[in-house]
Amino acid sequence: MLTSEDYNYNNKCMNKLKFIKGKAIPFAAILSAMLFVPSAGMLSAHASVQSTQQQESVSGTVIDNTGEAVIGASVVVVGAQQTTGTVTDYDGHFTLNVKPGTQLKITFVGYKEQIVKAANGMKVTLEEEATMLQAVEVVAYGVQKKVTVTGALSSVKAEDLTRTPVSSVNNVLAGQLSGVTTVQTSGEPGADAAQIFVRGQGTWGDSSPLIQVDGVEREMWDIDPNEIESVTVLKDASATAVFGVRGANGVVLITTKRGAEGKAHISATASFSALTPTKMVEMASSYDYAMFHNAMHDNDGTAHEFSQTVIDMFKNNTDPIRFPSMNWSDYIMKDVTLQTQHNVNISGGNKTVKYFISAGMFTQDGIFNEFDRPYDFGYGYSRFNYRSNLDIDVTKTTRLSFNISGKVDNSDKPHSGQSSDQLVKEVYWATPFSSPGFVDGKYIVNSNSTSDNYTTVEGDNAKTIPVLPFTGGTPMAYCMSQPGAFQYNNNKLQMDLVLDQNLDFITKGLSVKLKGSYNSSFATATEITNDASTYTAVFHRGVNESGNIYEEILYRKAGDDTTPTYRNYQNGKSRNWYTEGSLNYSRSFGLHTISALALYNQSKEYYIKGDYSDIARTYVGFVSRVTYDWNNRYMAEFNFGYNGSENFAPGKRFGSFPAGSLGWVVSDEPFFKSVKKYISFLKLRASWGLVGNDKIGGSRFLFMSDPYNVNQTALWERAQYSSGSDSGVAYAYLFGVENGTATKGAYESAKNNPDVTWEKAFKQDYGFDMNFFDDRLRTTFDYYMEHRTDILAIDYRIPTFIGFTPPYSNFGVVDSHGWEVSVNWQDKIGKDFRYSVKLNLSYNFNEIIEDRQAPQQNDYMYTAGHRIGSRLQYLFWKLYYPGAEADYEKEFGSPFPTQLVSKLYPGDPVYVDLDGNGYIDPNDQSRDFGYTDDPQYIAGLNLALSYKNLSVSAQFTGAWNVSRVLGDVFQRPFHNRNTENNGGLLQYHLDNTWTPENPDPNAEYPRATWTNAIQNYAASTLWEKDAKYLRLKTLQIAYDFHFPFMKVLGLNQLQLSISGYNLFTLTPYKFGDPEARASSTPSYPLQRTYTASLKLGF
Amino acid sequence: MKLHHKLLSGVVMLSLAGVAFTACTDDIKFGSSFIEKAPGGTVTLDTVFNSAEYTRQFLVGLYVQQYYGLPYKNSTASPWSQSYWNTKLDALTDCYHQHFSGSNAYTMYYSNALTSNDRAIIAYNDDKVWETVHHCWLLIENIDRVPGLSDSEKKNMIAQAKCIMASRYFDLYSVYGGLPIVEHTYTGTEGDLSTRRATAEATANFMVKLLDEAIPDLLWAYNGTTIETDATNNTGRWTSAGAMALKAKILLFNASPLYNANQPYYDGSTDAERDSVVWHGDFKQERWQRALQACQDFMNANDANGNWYELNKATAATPDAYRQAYRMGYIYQGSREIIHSTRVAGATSNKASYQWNNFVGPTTTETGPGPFRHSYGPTQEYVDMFCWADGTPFDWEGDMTAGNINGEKGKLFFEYVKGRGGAVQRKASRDPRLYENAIVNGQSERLNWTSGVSEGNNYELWVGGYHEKYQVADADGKIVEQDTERFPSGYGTIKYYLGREYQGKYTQWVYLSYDEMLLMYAECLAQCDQLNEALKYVDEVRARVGMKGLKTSITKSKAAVKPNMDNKQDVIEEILRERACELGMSNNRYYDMIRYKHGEWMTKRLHGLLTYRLIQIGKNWEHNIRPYIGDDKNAGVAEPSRFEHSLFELQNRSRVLWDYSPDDLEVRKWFLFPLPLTEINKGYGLVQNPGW
Repeated sequence: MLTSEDYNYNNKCMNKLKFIKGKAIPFAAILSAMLFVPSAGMLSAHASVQSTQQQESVSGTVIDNTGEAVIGASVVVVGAQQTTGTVTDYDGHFTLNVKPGTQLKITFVGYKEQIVKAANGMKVTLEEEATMLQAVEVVAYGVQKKVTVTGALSSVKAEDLTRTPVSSVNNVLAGQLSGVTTVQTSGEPGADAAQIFVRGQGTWGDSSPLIQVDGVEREMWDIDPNEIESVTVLKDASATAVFGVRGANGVVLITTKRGAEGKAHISATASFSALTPTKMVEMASSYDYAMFHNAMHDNDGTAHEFSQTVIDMFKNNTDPIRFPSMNWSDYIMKDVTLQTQHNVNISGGNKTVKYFISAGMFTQDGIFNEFDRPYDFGYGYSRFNYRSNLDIDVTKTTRLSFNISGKVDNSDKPHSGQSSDQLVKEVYWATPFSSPGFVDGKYIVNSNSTSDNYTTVEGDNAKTIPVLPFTGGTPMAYCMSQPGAFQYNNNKLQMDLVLDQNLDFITKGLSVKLKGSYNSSFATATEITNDASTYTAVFHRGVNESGNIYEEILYRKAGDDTTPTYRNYQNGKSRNWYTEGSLNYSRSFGLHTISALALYNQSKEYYIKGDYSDIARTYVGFVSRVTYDWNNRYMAEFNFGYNGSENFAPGKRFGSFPAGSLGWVVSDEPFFKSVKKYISFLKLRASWGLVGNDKIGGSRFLFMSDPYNVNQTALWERAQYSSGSDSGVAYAYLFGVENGTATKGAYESAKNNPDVTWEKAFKQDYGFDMNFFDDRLRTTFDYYMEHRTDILAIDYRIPTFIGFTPPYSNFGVVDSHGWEVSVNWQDKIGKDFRYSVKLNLSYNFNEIIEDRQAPQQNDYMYTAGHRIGSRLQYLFWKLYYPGAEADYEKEFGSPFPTQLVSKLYPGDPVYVDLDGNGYIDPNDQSRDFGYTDDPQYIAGLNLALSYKNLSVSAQFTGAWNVSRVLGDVFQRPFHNRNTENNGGLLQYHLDNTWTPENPDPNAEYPRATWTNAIQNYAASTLWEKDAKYLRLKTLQIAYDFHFPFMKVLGLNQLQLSISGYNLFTLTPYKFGDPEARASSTPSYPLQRTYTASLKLGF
Repeated sequence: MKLHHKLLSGVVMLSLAGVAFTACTDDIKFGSSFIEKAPGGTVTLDTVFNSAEYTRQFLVGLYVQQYYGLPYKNSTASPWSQSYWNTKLDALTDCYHQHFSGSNAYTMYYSNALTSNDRAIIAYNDDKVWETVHHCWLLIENIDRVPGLSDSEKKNMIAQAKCIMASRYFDLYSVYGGLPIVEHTYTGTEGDLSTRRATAEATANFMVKLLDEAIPDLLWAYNGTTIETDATNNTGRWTSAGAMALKAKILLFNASPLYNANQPYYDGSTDAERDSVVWHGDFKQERWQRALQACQDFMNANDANGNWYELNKATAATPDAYRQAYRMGYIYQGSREIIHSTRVAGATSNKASYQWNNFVGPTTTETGPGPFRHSYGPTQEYVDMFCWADGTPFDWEGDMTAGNINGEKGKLFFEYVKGRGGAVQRKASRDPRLYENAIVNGQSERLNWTSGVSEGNNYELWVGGYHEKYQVADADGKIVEQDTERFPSGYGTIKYYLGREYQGKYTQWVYLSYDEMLLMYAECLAQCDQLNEALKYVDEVRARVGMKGLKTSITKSKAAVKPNMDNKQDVIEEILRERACELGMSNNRYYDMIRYKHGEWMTKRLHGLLTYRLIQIGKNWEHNIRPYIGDDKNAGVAEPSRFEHSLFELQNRSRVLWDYSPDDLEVRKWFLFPLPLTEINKGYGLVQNPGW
């Protein structure tokens, strides 16, 4: 068996090309050779009617194409005066008193009607009807006939996910699936996967859904989308209760493709994409910067920092080295980068062996300029995915499935240790005159030192030489301050082995399934370091031999360029396995169909990140499900999950999660016949149930006795704080005189609670599926309610003097509700023109009911009673103007409150005194206003049309009732990491700030000021910006060619397509991408992609 | 047969699956037993207090949580006082002005923007005070059951814990007033936790009680010969000297006019004033008597213990030697001047995470790159407090007129004597402690750690000098302000920074020292009207750096207005000035400001020094804004010796309160910090300090 070590090769040769040639291709070849089935020839799959001698009585068997008996199929004589007929029995047998040769019509729900000539001993194979009734849905631990599904779920097929190549399937889900919210905040290659929520956030704890690939918890973002058959999202309790403590946030099930009996089908796609960053926010030029800076000083009545001579230098651009005006985002970001995605997959099989084998390669260049360094560090990403899914019918009743899949990926980053988000922030923090960048291969930094800008020459003191008042920052740190790179390599290997044994010989309809999965990954990294020289521009005036004064720019060199050094190290590993054993029973008795499932699973994950990394994380679960339907008309289902999580005390580990659902296909009722012409299908559904969530936050094992740490040897200065907690704080002390031996320390590290338990979500879902006009218009509607309790929280009402943070307890309560609707119209006009319109719309509302927040002065300040993520902010009224006092009093009936600063100037924001005490203080901050970062409404619109060989499809997504808060440099001019006066300035500030010259009462930005900063830049509704958007997420135009030579080559598909991703966005939000966060953490720009793809099928 | 075949293949496959997927695990378990047990070997309360070793370690853990007066951490987590995003109490006084604009000095304090929603410099909730108190009680409540500890060791450990608890209480008491008294551990499930703030006096008495209980069980000093009692291994532990000194400091604070007065410092209308949590409600001379008694007790005990604690004396009567004596008195861990120190780090180095040093000045060069997150620029007002070297008070106006500052005989910091061949000799002209509390123009970059001799380049703090390259100019190009973060006022921070000679040396912060003890004693004596006796102890401190007595020196001064050393108030003000010179960067200037309700220290405008290097061109002396280090020095030009000085008002980071009257309530509210509003809102009885 292959192990991860086999993939572990030297990082130095992780050149993409070498990698493919040297490793990937042989590997794929070996893999294929191992698993490939030599003869992929077609075997006849259909048994036909066998006639024998003529007799008066005819008996026969009706089976389906799997060879199973079809029970309850009706067999009637065609053209008889009276209805003569019968139904098949439990074994699919029927006997009918007719002459052989009589035409018999055999029908069964979900199968194509067949007319056959009667013959004794005949065997009729019904073909499944390709209609919705026959379609199946992937559900928890299995599949279910779509018509009998009573839970709330939505699914999307492969072809909707691969219209345009994206690295991560997460990014095209929004708008495809109702009830799914995605937020893509970053465009960083290899790290751009959108966050997914199912039906919004039901808790302020971890609200990410459980994600399973082929029934095992796995990551989905790094799967090659070409390997995916379907994505199903389970939303209500009935669908998720079987996941017990894991299912409360919804479940995303990904199913990969499998082979089907038939000739080998080879599909190859190649795509090349040009990526351009969606808009970066424009920055001010040096001249505008200086003018605005001085104007801001004027506002404050303080001295200018930019002298007129400096301003003239900027204006006339006479010295582009010492007084440059850089557009940093243009300078360090490439205009366009290349992305490629290639996939070859082969599928097919014979009667006993079916296979699907896929190999895919994805590359995406980083956007950041690498300035000719001999190594990659600009956030490039490449990934190789492979998969082989194999199904072997070992015997007629035994099927063995074996999946092996994995990925190898490479990514690189600058050595500066900055995240890509940070790097982007540096662009916004930079001043346009801090450096002219590279000049003649030298990286120049400017200096505002008087000694670097000699202003005098002996005997010539008259001339004033302009000197920058300050230089501010550059965004070049990623390549200049700590030159080098981190290059990461990840190998992931996943295997599933499934044994499905039909136990019909015990009792009909019974089968047993055993499954084992193993996942491992191994990561290495290479750290590349070198030194790079920088040059400081020094202005020099001197007197030459002939006594003339001359001026020149000299460079003072610092540091040396050195050759890079390399260091390899292991960067992480993971290993987990999953086993499952289940008994399935499914059988129809006449019109009654019963199915039952009993399943046990357990899983173990090693090398947990964070606390107690040496202790594997384990789960066990017991699942049972019983479904019943009568003639596909009345459905009832009962699900039960019983499972445990190590997060809770022994004895409190296991929980029971029951759920039930009912369904009624009203349209099958006789009374419905009259309207069936219009309403072709109507199903009502309802479900209720309890689901849990053990990802509650806090550390693992919160139930244990209060932990103490002893034998601490690190000194306090070394303490590594992690966001306010003191995990890992050092407690040793240095006593003595110049004594380097630390005395070991011990301390109480936390207070625990033995009673902690999982979150519980009681969910209800009421919905209907309704089709009109012969199923051409299909609609689905769901209304849901959720009552989430036992959310982990800390009681912040306890006084601090007790000396410790009170332990976590399950206090929290959140209520949420919402609805989802999807409408799907599909039709054709004439023979060649087909089109479809799919619209889905989701609404989600949630409210924190209880969270034991520290007491607040006013009710509107509490998080309770508000949406998760609500913002505490002042209510902005108007920009101040003389006479505003009277207008305020008129409007609010209370006197104009004292604001946060003692003196307001025209153009300063005025806040509303919510508690009416006459002055503005933090108690006037409220959570009542505005929206949150996650949208309340998400809509998706999918359009597809095809005419002959041409097809066009488009996916729009939109969101509203969502907002972003401006922070950092987006809010304050001249902000950077350290200062409020030497940082960056957005062009947007120039254009939209209230100024005495342009006293626009509706200006986006208040008067620029330092002295009144606490007023003007306080968190208020002024800074909350509407971030609703409508975006053309994907667009594809494809053409299928049919050349004569294709037949010769055995080519049955040749498709050329062009597509785009993130093509345009309509939004009132101006600060970059509405999905990205433009607050204090701007991020790697999202990419706009233009792609040309070629798809071949053999 | 068929059935058999099916079963067989099933079994084969099953076992295959089993082998494949359990090969990597040790044994096969199912159900509840499959879920791992909680981590074994977990250390709990019982583990710690069943072991003498762990109990001792737990005591060490209490030491770790002591207050450290120098911010050095890039963290906003608790303890907040150690974060350089916060600031130092000293930056709020008239002695230092913080120029790092990312610090809260600028955003919260100078802008007068602090509210009860913000964390004050020493944070009521976020400085680990209450955690420490909780941990101290954990030790005290559980130590009885620890096997393997002698009764005397237990007593000694409890005493150390009590000192730590008292010191942490004092850290809050000195900036907030009366506090809730915690006398045991809590579980958090008590239900009703109503607790009012104790009065200021009761809080002081609580601390004093803890110390009184501790004193008999502690050693006077770790000066023994065993590994348990020697200095090498134990300095830094609490001693009875430390406990007695802290007691004196608490009682001094308790007796000071902030609390001990006939009028409250605010307007008398607030709950806090009515509850006597921010003043005592009356003035009683006995409080000063009590503080004096505590000082005398300390002195007597020191006497009885062979005067172990003493001033570190100079080995020669030279400016360098005086500096070295003063410096080693506070910086050297083995100094007998230190009564109690706290530590958070080992030796300094340019890679350490102890960033007080790294961010005061860069370690490899003196100019950059920064970040200079500890740019506490000493103000001109502070520098002016330092006398001339002989002890004569400095007076900018008078000395300017007398030609001591600018001109040929200018000797603001150094007297320059031209020697043979144009070589220049420098002699420090001011109180030697000046050069240890502010880096001034012309001062050497280093004072050798061992020999105590000045060495290295001179600091060039003139406009355009090597260290002072950046200035703010007005629109006409006239320089109006210094602008380096390192020397923002024309002076630089040196206390606890020193220079590169401090690299590789062990660090500490002095919590209590003998020189402070002498000055506290003097203050108490003066408050009890024993003025001459008081001056005796002030003069002892001055004599260590070679300065003459206060009375004599003032008599010599030619200043127009001179303090009267027979006047109680004047003597006390002189003691406060002397404390500022002797105890730089120790929080004491801040404490003095609020103890004496000196609102005028908050509202007076502060200044920096603008220095020009002069060169002679013909007969004129003109500005030369070039550095000396580098070109001129390499060219053999003599060391610059003539300068022109002028003052500028600190504008770049001016303080909002500068426009206020010292009696304005907006100023007076600053005498105590705001308690966090969130804490008050919990409704267990905490009342807010006046004005917040």
